[in-house]
Amino acid sequence: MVIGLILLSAALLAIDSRLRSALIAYASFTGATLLLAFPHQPSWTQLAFFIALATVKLVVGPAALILLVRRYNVPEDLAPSINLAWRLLLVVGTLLAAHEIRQMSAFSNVAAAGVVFYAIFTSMLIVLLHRNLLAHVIGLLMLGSAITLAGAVFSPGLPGAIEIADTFDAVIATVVALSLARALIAFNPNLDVRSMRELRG
Amino acid sequence: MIAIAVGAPFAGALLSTLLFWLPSLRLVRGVLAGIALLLTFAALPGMDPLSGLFASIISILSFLATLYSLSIFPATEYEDTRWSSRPAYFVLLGAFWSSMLVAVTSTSFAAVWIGISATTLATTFLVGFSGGKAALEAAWKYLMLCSFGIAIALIGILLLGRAGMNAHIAPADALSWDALARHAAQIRPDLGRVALLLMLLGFGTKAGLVPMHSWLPDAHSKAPAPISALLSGLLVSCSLYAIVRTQHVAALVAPGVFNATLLFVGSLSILVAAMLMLAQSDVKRLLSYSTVEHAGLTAIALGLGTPLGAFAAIYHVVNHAFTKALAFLAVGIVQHDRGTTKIGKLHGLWNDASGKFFLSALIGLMGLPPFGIFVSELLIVVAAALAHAWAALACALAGILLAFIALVRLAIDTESGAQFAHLNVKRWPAPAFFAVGSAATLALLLTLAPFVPFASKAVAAFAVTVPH
Repeated sequence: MVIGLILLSAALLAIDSRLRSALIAYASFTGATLLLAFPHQPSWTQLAFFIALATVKLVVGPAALILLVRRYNVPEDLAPSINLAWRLLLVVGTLLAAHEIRQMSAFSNVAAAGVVFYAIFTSMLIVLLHRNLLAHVIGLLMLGSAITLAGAVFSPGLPGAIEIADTFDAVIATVVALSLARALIAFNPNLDVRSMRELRG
Repeated sequence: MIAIAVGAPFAGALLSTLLFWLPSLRLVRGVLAGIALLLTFAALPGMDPLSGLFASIISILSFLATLYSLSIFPATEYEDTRWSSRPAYFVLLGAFWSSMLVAVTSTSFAAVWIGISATTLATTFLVGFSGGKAALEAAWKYLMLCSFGIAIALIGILLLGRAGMNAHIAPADALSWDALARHAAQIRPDLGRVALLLMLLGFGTKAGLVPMHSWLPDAHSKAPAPISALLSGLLVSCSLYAIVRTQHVAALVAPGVFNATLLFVGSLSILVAAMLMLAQSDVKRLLSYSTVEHAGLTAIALGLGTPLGAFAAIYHVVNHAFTKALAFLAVGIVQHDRGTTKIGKLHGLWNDASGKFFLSALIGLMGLPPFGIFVSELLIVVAAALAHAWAALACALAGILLAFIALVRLAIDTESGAQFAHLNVKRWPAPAFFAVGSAATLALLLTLAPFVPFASKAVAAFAVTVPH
């Protein structure tokens, strides 16, 4: 059920073109990954990091995105760069690629390895398939959630460092990316990647 | 002591920001940076030789960049300063310095990752510091590509942790390279191979290795000059340090495929970067591609998998750090005086001091004596020949030749000709010239490093521990 939710919400994120539905899909995806990543018998430190991580990913990130859109009138259309059929095809391709990786001998005894790689590939797809920089921020946030999932699936027994790393990723995506997006609005009110052509060659 | 040394630059920057009301704030900032440098030296006995070497380079160059930054701030008339403020700059610079120290002084891959990842936090804002459109775009590209790259490295680290725990390493030590090397025989080669290659891909992105390099020329060329110096001289070195530590484990778990990948991306990097150097019209952008070229050369030396190759790689990283820092710091003065870094608009640089410093940096980057890069490039070529890595050697020689042509052309175009007509030369404060002069002196003195037992001890100690 949780794995199904991860697969479906990740696919929706890559395919969808509206900010609101993308945020709902992102919240479902992140909620599901956090559910899988919740440590068994956590220490106080682990619990504190987990709560910090969940707060940044589920509350601060989406809230900051909505605030940015409302305050600066950024278009809510995530501006896909290819049509729906191609986006669907790419998601199916991602699913197949993740399945192939799961067949590698290195992951022979990791049941959910395919889901982890599917989540990582999909987060990259979100960035590649949309022109609106807000979609890139969502892709970055989703990548952080995919890493959380990777930590839970690949190395559940590793001590605190991984939680710190996860939190860091969420902070980079939320604080740094959104601050930059806000600064870019002055030159690029639609936050469209097509307007970012200053640097070439 | 190490923890104090690591935290000192950031703490000093925060403290100096709190002391904003002091009339001699610049002096305070300089003194605090000096204390941070001394604390690094005091902590050296607690570090292993390789960590000590990198920590020293980081602190010396960051100190020089801080001194230089204290001088350039009254002179930002060519920059769009809407998004900038001095306190934020120095806090971010301190955070950058501290996070690099975290990366090189730890003994576990998780801490290295945290350190390198933390540099992204600080440097993204520093790259976009001028607030101009191009700078912000460069910062965005840098953030996106490096975040994805570094996330891939983290996936690799998680897999390596799993492989370590499967090899009966205690979870607390599962990401320590020493523990992983000790238990290498029990690590599953298939899992280890995937983990190490993902780490190489991730850290390689931050090191600017082709094909994950496209952020580097934008970010390094659009950042303020002292930040460009640190990005090219140190951040790339930190990422190469992470690759060296990864290789320490890979040499025992999956030496063949790891070294072959290093040779391939190294060869690709040096060729692509050298060819793109020939097509550049901006000095800082050309120097940024030169950084990719030198990262490629270092990757080739590491990929040889021999003690001489490892020695040459580390020695080259050190030489490149000082020489490239010198180049960017000198270009910063040129940019201030002339208001441009466009090659077509610069001429007659030889007529003033910044131009002479810039020329000396170019001679160093060309691989000519008396600079250290001459010796390290020679060592890499000899190491490649001794290892019979003929394809990589051919790529390295071709890349070095193309880069040499691009740099000679740059030197002729910018240094010759009449003095700039509308020169806005102001008397530069002593700290800026001290910073540039020190970088030049150190880049020159490094030529002697392999022949001085004390200086080469750190590099040699690492080189002989590379397992084969």
